[in-house]
Amino acid sequence: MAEKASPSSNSISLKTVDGKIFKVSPAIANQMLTIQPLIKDSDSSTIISLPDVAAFHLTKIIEYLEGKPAAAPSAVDAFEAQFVKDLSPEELKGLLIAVGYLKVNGLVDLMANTVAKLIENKSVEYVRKFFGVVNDFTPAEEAKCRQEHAWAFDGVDED
Amino acid sequence: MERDMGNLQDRLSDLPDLVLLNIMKFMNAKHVVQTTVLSKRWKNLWKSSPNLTFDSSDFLWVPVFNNFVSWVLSCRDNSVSIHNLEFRRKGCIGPKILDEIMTYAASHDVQQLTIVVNLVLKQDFVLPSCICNCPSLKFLKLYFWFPYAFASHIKLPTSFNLPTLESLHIKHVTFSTKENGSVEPFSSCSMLNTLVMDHCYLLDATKVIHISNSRLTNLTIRSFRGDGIAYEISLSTPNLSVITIKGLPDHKFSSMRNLPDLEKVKIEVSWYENFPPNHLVLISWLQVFAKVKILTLSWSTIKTLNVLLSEFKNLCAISRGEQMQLQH
Repeated sequence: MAEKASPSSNSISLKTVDGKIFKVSPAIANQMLTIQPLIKDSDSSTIISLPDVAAFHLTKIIEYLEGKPAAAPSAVDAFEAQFVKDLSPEELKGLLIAVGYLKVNGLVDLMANTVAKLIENKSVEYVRKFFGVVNDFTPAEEAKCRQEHAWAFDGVDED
Repeated sequence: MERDMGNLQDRLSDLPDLVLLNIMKFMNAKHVVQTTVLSKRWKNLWKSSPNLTFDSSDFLWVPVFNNFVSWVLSCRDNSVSIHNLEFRRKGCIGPKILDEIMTYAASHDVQQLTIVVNLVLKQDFVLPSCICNCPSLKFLKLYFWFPYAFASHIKLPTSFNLPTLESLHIKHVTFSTKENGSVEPFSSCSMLNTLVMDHCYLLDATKVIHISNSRLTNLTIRSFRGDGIAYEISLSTPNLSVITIKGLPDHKFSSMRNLPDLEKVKIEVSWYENFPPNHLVLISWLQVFAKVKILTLSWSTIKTLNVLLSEFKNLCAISRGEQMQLQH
């Protein structure tokens, strides 16, 4: 995962899957729990490769970690609402994977919450498409499954 | 980037169960159970969710909601403990389903339990002992609401035995009196740091509630004059830093000498044109909190004090104390 680069300051170099290198402070990098152990063993010349993270996603993650207010829950809520406001479903999917892979403090739950709110009132087809789920039920099996869980479909309009 | 985006769908469908269960954490139980029809992988996934949020507003018919709750509890994977359970219900509820939920939660190592319901009672409801003695509980919110039919009570035990509880929020409940006549319900909760008492009552003869918690830092009390007997609140809480008092002044505080760390006091008196607040209690608060560093008085609190001052028919001037910071 780690390779050598030219020595510079004590910033950490992160290389995304599309080949971009980002330099971040140890304080920022340490909030990505997956790479924490690599930071301890690395010197300034180390480049840490992130196979599941594209440049766009790392940019957003750094934007979140640098911009999140330190105190006042109401300020954090406002910042987080703004952060997710303009994300398209596609961007959300990519971030969900990247954040889950890096285990980013705070963002794991924010992404999960945003996805939950997005899919909560959507049709079964929408949710399948969102998660890339292939329906491996036969029509009879699916009907039976619905029947068994009829409580949860009380008042739901079928699409 | 292109290569990355190309297999996005594949990687989404490979998301570990833990990530999917974390998404379910933020969904109401009804929507969580609906994921069962997505595919064979998802069919039983919801049964392992450690978080359950039951909200009756997701249901057109309240009786269906009751059956849904019982059904979910009987279907889910019994070996998975409960991290967070929330039960919110509009409309009236009997004690039976509440008992069922609390018993299930306590027997599954619940850490956070929220109950917000309108309980209709024919007789007193005693909080199940499994919840009052639950060793895993860290957060407990019991918000009851029922019309002012005080013939019956929602009774708390003489003492909570909750060794890991950090945050307790209670509303419309009645404290039980110990054999020696005292009320000291929280002293065994050694980790308690936040306590919210909203419309809490004492039984007839008792006049004092003792709150003795060495870790308590944040205390909120809300009362309405006339709901039950006025009592005195005696604090033995050396680390208390913030007190918030809301509603109509009713309960006095005993001396504040043993509160060395008290930093902030917020008073928000409710204002009702036809229901004048008890000025004597309000003034007694200002007296006992005299040494606090920051005193915040809501606009209606100042208005209340102003009404009192209007009794001084010949008054020409009022000067403001230097230590006082007024906010609203």
